[in-house]
Amino acid sequence: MVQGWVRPQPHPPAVRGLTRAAAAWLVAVFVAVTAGPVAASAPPGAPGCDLAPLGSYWSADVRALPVHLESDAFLTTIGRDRDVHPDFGSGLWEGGPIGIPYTTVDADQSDVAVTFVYADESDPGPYPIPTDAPIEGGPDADGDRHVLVINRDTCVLSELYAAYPRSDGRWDAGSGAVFDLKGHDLRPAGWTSADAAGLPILTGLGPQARVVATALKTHGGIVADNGSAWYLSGVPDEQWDNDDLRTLRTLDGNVFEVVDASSLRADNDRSATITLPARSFGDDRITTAAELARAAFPEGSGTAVLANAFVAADALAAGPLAAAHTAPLLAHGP
Amino acid sequence: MLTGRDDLPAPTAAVLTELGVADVVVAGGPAAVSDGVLADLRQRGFSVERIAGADRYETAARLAVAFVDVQGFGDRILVAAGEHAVADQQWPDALVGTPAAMAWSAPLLLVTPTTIPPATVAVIRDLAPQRAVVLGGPSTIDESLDAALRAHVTTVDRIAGSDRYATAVAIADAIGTPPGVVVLATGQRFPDALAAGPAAVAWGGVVLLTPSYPSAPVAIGAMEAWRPAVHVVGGPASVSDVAATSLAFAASG
Repeated sequence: MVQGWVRPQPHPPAVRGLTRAAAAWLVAVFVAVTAGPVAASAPPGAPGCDLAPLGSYWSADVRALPVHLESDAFLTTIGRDRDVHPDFGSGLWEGGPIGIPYTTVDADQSDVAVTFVYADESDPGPYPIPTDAPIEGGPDADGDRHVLVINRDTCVLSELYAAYPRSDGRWDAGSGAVFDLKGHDLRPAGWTSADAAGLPILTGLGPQARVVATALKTHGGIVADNGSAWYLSGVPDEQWDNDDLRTLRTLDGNVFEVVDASSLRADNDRSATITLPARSFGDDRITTAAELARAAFPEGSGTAVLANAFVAADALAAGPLAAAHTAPLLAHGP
Repeated sequence: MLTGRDDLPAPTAAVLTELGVADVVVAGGPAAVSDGVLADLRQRGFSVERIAGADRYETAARLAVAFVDVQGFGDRILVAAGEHAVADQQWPDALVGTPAAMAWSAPLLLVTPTTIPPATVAVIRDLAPQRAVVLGGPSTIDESLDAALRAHVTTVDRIAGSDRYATAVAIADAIGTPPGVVVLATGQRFPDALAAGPAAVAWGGVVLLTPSYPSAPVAIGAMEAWRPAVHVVGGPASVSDVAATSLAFAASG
């Protein structure tokens, strides 16, 4: 199955009228931030499981990636005039919650057998799926019927497509995939998954509608090769403001470009791992300055310059004098 | 941390001892660092000198003279904004100027957005530089100041980007040699960048600024061009792990 990356172009997009998109493609958006500048992206119910670990392609910054040579062709095929469509929200639609729900279990959840239609591209299981796991669209839905389960103890994510529970606790499903959220392993090339492109669905979800656009611009969206044009997957949640989410439809295919994300992969089996840079910091600005001095002047220094770190005025011109002495600038205050 | 006005903060005292510092230069007047702190330093055995003037401009002028005493003087001065229409927004261009000051043996002087204060004029007259390099765009220092500076120097150059992040990159680019190290600080709050300049110079590098999240695209572009080692100053609330990682990734090629 094919994956591609898209990012909105840097210029503000033109506002378009609303048109319903015909089913053709699906966009899985990873939302890296929740309610602020904190990158950690643990889902409610599984606080120890990061859906977007640093160094994985889920948290990668796509803004500097080169535009793919076939970008125009990709966008034309998906549909330049088709609007972005948040496929999740609050409330009910046709009797079911809007979006793809998930549940969490612990290590005591017993594994059950799942019988697959596409067994040759599914992880064989058994799967830790509870009998009452929520099904996309509700128990009587006739749509994709995804089931997503996170083991909050092991951070293993299990996803089923077209899932139907049996009365004995076992399940029937179209396909199934298991993802270790603590690893960087990619799904075997060519295998399907619940999103039909070898990607975990849940990793593409986040709780704050307003953040979606920023996340798309910074981290991009991953495009699967089937589904509906520019559809964004998400979990149903009563905290979604559907009117707010609907403003995403003012964006259409013209605002995207396809980027070449090949540099984000270490090889065909793993997303790239990136090492965090060195960092000097402490509990406050005074300690931070002291820690930076330790890092930058390991051989010591005969001179130091002291300035107030709470009032910028007098300290503004102190840097060059400290540098001329090959000396650290240390902090006083308040 | 809350420290008494006359007490040297404990982390600062600890690192002074650890680095074997003998001489402490206090930058700023008693309102910034009290006489009690200087007494405390002397009691701890440090030799202490205060460099300060009546206001930030005179303080900067005296610091510039002290800079020239140590570093010598090239042919130019750096000019940065000492105040800004928005409170606490005057600092970015001055603080990222330290590596350029060292590269050109150019003392850093402060101006208001529209005037050259008398203390600054006095130092310019004493140094008689050929050139003045204005750090920052017209939103921080009015274009009329270029003409005012031309009364004292032959050439006035400006190094400016569209915002503080771009200005920091432009200053680093103007030095001419791609830096081997970038010290990365938040551009949203003043204190982390304060100590970054001397550290960057010690490493042979420059200072760049970024928002906490996401990182500044102009900084990413600089990282891709320079491929430097990256050292972040400040915690994840100042520069998020995602921003730090994306910049380090750009720098790693």
